[in-house]
Parts: sequence; structure tokens; C-alpha cells
Amino acid sequence: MKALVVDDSRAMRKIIAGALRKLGYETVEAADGAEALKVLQEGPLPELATVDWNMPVMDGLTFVTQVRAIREYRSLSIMMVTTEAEHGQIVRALAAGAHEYLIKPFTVEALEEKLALLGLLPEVTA
Amino acid sequence: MALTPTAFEWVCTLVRKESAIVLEKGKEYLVESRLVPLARAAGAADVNAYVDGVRLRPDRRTQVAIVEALTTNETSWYRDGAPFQAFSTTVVPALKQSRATTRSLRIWSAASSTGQEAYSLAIGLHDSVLAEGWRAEILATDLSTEVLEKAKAGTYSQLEVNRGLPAPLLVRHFTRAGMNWQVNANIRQMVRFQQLNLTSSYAALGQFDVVFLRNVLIYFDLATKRDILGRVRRVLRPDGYLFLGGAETTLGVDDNWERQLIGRVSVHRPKN
Amino acid sequence: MTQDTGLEAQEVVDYVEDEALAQIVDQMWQSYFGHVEPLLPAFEPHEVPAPVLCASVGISGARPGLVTVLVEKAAGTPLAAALLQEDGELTDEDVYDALGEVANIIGGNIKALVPDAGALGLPAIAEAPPLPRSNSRCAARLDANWQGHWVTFIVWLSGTGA
Repeated sequence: MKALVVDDSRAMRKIIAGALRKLGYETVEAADGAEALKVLQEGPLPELATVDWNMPVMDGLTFVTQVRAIREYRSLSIMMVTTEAEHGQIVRALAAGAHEYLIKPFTVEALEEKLALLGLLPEVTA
Repeated sequence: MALTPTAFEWVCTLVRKESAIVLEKGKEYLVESRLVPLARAAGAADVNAYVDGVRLRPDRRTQVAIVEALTTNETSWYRDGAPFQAFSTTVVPALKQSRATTRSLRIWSAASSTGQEAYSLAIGLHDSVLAEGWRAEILATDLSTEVLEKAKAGTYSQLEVNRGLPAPLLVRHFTRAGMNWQVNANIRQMVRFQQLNLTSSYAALGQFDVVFLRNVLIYFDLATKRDILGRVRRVLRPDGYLFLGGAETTLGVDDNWERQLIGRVSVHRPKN
Repeated sequence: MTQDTGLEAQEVVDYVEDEALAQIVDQMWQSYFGHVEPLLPAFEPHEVPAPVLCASVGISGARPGLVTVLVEKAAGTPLAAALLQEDGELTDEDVYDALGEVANIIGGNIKALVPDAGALGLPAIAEAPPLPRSNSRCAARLDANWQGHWVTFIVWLSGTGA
């Protein structure tokens, strides 16, 4: 399974991508919404995208809105991973088409459990 | 200012007594760091003074605060989501059929702890049967009054609601309260919290359609387990459902249950 | 910490208190740095010795604010290493990025406590603390120590109509 990790912080991309790879994902990264759109255009569609909100060039909410308008990307599950923690912001993100929302700071367990809710936890064969 | 060995020992003993959690040697700085905010709020000169204060003049509230500060690991909202899915997708629809005349459901969350299980069930029922005019009541019981107080408040930290709780449910049924998130009043009202020791009588509880008795039987010996299961069966309606914890079973304990599978989740039905 | 202008100062200070800031920092530290060593809150304010690095994030809206994270420069690399879980060569950029993210996470959670808050800015790193606006007050402060290094977190907030 493939995941696209979108965040302007390299540290955060590393944390998230690292956690996803441990769960069995192949990961690809982007530092802002515009870069992320390019990645989607150029490669095979990932199953999952984790998206930060506040980024330069194109923020996460705009990215989510744009992705949701494209039919070919319909199967992409989107989880916002952001420090925006107000009730209203979460509502906006879900209304824009995000499927899940993880508030920073999050633990790796929290990330896993959100993936489980989305049915996106690869079955680990021990 | 560093925690003295005496103070650390005392704190370890308190925590072990109240929660069975053992704080290891070498974690003194961890204990200290968690107690600094409490000590400051109490106006103590430092953490040692704070601990010595309650050590020499026992005060229940302070003891509880200390234990909580050292043992509160956020518990995942749906520690194991599968039973709740089975409840919502299979059990509730089946009960909607069989209770079509009374249009009323009673659920017992029998080891409700800090309330997440009870509120999860309430949310599930609110979004399904309540919307259609049914009545639903959840009784949530636990041995500990402290834990019940927390459950009644229905307030959880951001770390707790971040875990295993679907975001759409978070926004629909919770409101921010400062740093925390609180279950909305209309959901809280669906749950009645009550102190109950599982070894005592269930005579006054009434009858239930579903009982959740998850991960609590392990604390009892075989004879008590058998007794509890027997009495649970008597408060469960004949076509009701019992949910035990993931690794638990009635096998070898009480033959009066029939196990059924809903997906990978076991439910137990009273045998007649 | 409280100034003499009475009502306006109080209004600003009440939305975010030391306790809330401490909780946010604690939750963040547990999630990302706890595996290395916990953050030890200090009993009294403590000056962070120079040379320093300061990461700050702005909050726009009715009560503009600034959340700053001030650390000893020597703490930058171990902090970044802990966040990235990397031992190798860390560049200045890695350190600034890590500090910036710390400020970002705290800033976002603080913003959620401030009524009518607007947008969260992108983090900025400097070698000195920023000068807060003349009408802003220190609403919350946390002094702490991590692995022997001093760290100070401050939330500056302005009153409305400023």
C-alpha cells in the first residue's frame, strides 16, 4: 500500500512516513499542497494521503478541496494531520472531504488506530 | 529539590496500592516532573514538601490526584473497535426488529471505568434508534466512585479523543472545554452512572437487552466468575446479548451460554 | 506578569493560563520526546542563557498573539535528533525545522483556546526572541529543563480593539 505524506516540516514528514513504513506502507512525500498535487498527477494513486493544514504555496484545506473535485482520485483516503484543534476547523476539514482527522501532538498508536478506522491498516503477517 | 528516597518510596507504594502499577527505580525524575504542577498548584515549597504534606497528613483527594498524575495513560476511545461495530451493524438492527413494539432498549456497561464504553454505546444508539423515536437507556456501573465521577463529567483529554474515535463522531457529539473535549449533554443524559460491586446483588437493576462485561472477569476467581455470569444471565432478556472482552469466554465457566460470531467478534446468548 | 491596566490585561490573560500551556507542552513532549527524557517544569522563571534560538508562530484574529519557544542553542541539535529519531549529522535546517514544528504544535493548540482566533502563521526561527507588540501581554509562560538545557515557552496575546 502506498501513502503520500504532505507536511512542510521535514521532521513531521519523517515521523509520519516512518510510522507508516513500519506498518508496511511505501511512502512518498511532499512539502506543500501544490507539490502534493504534482505527485498525484505523476505517479500511481496512493491509498492514503496524510495532509498538514498550514503550509506555504498551497495549504492543506485547499489541497483536500482540489483533490475531492477530481474523479480519478476518488479512492484516495485523506487524513488531515494538523495542529488545528478547534471544533470548527475539524468540521471544515471533514466538509471539504477529509475522511479522518488527527490532531497534533499524536502518538503512533493514535495514528494506527485512525488507520484501523479507515480500514487502512495492512494486515501484518507475523 | 530532587525527590528524596523516602518520598519516592511512599509515592510508589501509594500508586501500587491504588492502581497495581509499579513505578520502577530510576524513574524518580519522571515522578518528580509529573508532580511539579500539583505541588505548585497546592502552594507547596517543592515536590518533597508536597509529598511529605500528604504523607504525614493523609488526604484522600491529594492521594487520588497523585495517583492519577502518575498513572493516567490516555486510553484509546475504542480500545478494540470491533465489538462496537458488531453492536451497531448487527445487534442493534436485530433488536430493532424484536423490540419493534416497545421501541425501547436497555444496555448495561458493567465495568464502565472512565465511561468511554458507555458513551460510545450512547453515541451509536443516538445516531440510529433515537433518531427514529426510540428510547434508549444505558446503565454504567463500576466499583470505583472516583472513576465514576470522571465518567459522569464526560470530559476527556485531546490525547484521549485522538485515539480510536472517528472524527465525524467527535465533531458531532463533543464540544471543546478548554484543553479538553466534553461529551455533549444530550449523550451524557443517556447514561446513568452508578457504583456497583459485581459480587453484590443485581436485583434492583432491571432487565437488559445487551450487557457489556469486558475485561473485568479476569479479576475474579472461577467460582465468582461463574456466579457473576449466572446472575448476569438472569438480568439479560432471553434473546439478549452479552459482550465479553476479546480474549474472554464462558467456556469452562458457565454452560448456559451459546457463543455466536458476528464477523470476528464473539457474542454470548443465553441458552434456554 | 499582570500589568496595571486592569480590565484589558485581565481579559487577555484569562483565555490562556500557565496551566493550559503546561498541559499542551506536556502532551506534546510525551508524544514526541518522552522516549528520550521528560521535560522538567521549573519552579521559578529561569533565563535561557545565550546563545539562544527562538522559534515563533503568530496567531491572527481578534486577539493577535505570538507563541515562542526559546532554547539554548546547544539544545537545538539534541532536540532535533530526538524528534527525528536520528543520530547522524544534523544540519542547521534540521534544527530550525524541528524547533519550528514544536512551536507550530504548541501554537495550534493555544490558538484553539483563544476566542475569534484567525489563522496560525508559519513558524519563524531567529537567534533572539521577537519583540512582542506594545499592547500585548505575557498570557502564559512555562520555564523548563530538558537534559540540562533551559527552555522557555511564552504565549503573548493582545487585547481586542488593539
